[in-house]
Amino acid sequence: MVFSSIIFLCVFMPIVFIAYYLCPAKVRNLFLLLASLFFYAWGEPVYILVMLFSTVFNYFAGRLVMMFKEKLMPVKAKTTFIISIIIDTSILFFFKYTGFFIQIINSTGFSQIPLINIALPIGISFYTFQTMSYIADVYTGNAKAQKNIINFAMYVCMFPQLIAGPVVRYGQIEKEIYSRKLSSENTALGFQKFITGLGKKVIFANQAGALWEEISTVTASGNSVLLAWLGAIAYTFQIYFDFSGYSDMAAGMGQMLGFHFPANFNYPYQSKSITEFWRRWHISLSTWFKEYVYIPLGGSRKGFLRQTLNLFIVWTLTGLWHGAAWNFVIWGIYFFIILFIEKCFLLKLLDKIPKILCHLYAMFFIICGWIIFACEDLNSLGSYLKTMAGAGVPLINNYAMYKLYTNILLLLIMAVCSTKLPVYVLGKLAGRLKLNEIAGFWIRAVFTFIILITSMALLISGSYNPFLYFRF
Amino acid sequence: MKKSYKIYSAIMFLMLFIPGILVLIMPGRDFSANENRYLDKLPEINAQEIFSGELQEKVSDAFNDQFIVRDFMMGLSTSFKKTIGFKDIGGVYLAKDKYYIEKITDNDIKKDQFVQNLMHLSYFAEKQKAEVYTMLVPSPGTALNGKLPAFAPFYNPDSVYNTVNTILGKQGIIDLREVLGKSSNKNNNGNLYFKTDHHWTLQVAYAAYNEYCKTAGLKPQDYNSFNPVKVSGNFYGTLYSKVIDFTAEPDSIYAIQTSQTDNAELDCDGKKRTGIYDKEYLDKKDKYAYFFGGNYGRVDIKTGKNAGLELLVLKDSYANSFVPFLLKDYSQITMIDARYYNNSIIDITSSGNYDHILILYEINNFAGEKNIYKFIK
Repeated sequence: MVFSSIIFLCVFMPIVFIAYYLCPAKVRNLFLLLASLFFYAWGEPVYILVMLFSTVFNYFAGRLVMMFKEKLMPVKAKTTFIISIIIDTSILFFFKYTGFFIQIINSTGFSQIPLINIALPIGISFYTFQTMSYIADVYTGNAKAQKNIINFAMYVCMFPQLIAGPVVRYGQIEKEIYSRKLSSENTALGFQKFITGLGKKVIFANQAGALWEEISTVTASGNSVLLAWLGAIAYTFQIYFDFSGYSDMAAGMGQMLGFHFPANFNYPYQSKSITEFWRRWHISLSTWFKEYVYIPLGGSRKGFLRQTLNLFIVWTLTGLWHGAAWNFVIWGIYFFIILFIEKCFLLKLLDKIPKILCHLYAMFFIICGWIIFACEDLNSLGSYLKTMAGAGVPLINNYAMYKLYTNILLLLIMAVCSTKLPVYVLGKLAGRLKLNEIAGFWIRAVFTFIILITSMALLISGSYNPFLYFRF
Repeated sequence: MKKSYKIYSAIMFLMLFIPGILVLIMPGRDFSANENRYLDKLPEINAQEIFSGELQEKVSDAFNDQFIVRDFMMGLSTSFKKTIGFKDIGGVYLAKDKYYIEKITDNDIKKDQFVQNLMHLSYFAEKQKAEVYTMLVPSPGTALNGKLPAFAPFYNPDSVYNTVNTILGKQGIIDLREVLGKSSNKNNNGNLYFKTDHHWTLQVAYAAYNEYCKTAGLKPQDYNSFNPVKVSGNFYGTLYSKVIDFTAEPDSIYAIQTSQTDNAELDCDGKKRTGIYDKEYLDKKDKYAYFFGGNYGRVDIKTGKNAGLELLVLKDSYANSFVPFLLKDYSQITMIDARYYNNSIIDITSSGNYDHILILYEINNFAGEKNIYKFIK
């Protein structure tokens, strides 16, 4: 089930939340687990078995690691830890990368393995990263193994962040698994956060996505530089509002359930460098790679060369995590190169030039990066980048003018809303008007009401509503 | 403060849940006249479909289609898109003066199909003893080009008509571009096509009739002598169904009233009838079907006029409001719509006794039509 659907909004969500509030505290985890399994099975009625296997396996692995540690048997603990990480990675590899891997082998020409068609279970990259973080936390002593399988399964399968993140590490919500406070404040504010996320997805991302979808299929004869850039900018907004919208919806529902999920996006398009961008984009994933790959590999402690290698590994893996295709590898390495250059000297240089130029510099490379991300076929990637650079196409054509003037308002609103500006201005305004807390709340409430109705209207009318996370 | 939080959450949950419950307990709607399509309904439970995920998709679709205030929500969605500055919705331009015009770009004209259709037509025409006339009506977006939104892409009609002339030659071609151009200049309201529907209006069908008479050597009559009357002032057509817009204005349908329109004997795919109009449709959504009761594979018309000539029309629905003008010029008219006709068309012409054959399609319809091969089957 996806959050941006009428069946989720009008049936699943009210039933599950109302029942959850009525549940005695003792059985809330069980109830949440069952609801989550239903939620997942709705879209993956068969592959739910993979998730259940992964859950049960990691539950026992965690307990084993814990037991060996308590019995002071570090070798056995380490062996169990390594084996379980290998098995987790193998499951992910099998479902996600087998096809890609066979293609690579076949392309060397030594063999011709027939391609097998394995569908990717939704959310496998997210829950596998969660279970691996759990095993690692137990092994390193950052968390205690969960003894209750229901609690553990609830952590792995919890529906708000199951299919599109954020990657919630076990240690982050360990306490809340045992006891969490429900309050009318958390419910109301969580609801508002959820609806803000829904609006980001349905009102912004889907409209931007429709624009990108249309432009990305334009052939060379009808294209122009302006049109290609409009498409690239549209995709840049689509992916941000889609992804951060999903994260907001997850965090909002988490809050309604009494959890506090880590922040996942912090106005990434406000960045003045790519280094800063990656501190603000998909934070839970970057943190995961930092904590569980970069630092264990030695981080920056083993000299410049080793650090560079570590960064290279992290960014290649980050690229691959986003999808099993060459463009994602290129995308990861693209950011490795920019980050490396920034680390060497560019950051110091950027410090000295006007801020606006830093923003332009960062946005330019972010936008180009998204085109690499969007074009899975390397030929179309090449031709799209060429069009953006102006090779063989006019600067402006009629079609571009049409798309520009019918979308400029949307693009401007999205540009403003992807920065902190609206929050800042509205906050100032509320201060000026000396609004009390209740009035401020109800103004936001009316606003969420409008967003909800508009989003539902767009969903019901069958407007473009893609699901971007099927390859994650 | 706590009270505010509670009230707010309660309102939001109810706002979501009440429509959900209503979809579950209310009997489903089968057809949306407004959108002119069948709606998805909640499916029967079936284990196999659960495991393939099909059932879940059907349920999700049904919730969209059966949503209680669906029509209102559709309009709201359109209002939002208009406010944000969009000028086309669902493949339809929101044109000036409240016109809705189908968006057809160069990419939408399927060149291969078009050329193949013209070849079929050319072959068909060569085999005929009768005079063959071809009238490919300009698309609304061509004739009403000035009403399209600024910079709106639309296909280039010149290259399309050049293709027609190259393959068919000029013999028997009735090109309406100039006539429609004049009518749209003369009368700035356009009034060439319906505002909410993809068909042409009676006035412009009359202009086409005039051109046809000139080419076929018939004597055209004055417009008013046909006694045109307004039969409906509340027509929301197919383009409206694609957009669903609160601010749309309904069209009026005019039809001519002569002794032939009332007394002609019709055989519509075996169903016999007197009079060419079907009043029932004036109370329904699809009011254009007032003309001949919509599209049939084959309609044989005994006009009751002893004019001595017989006509075969191979056509799409544009012909339905055009053919009434010709009832007084022919004793017998046969209309064939290739989409719904599965027998050999070339057989009809060899066994029949037709003096004239008219091919009448809106040009984009003709270009994309997959049934033209039936002309020569």
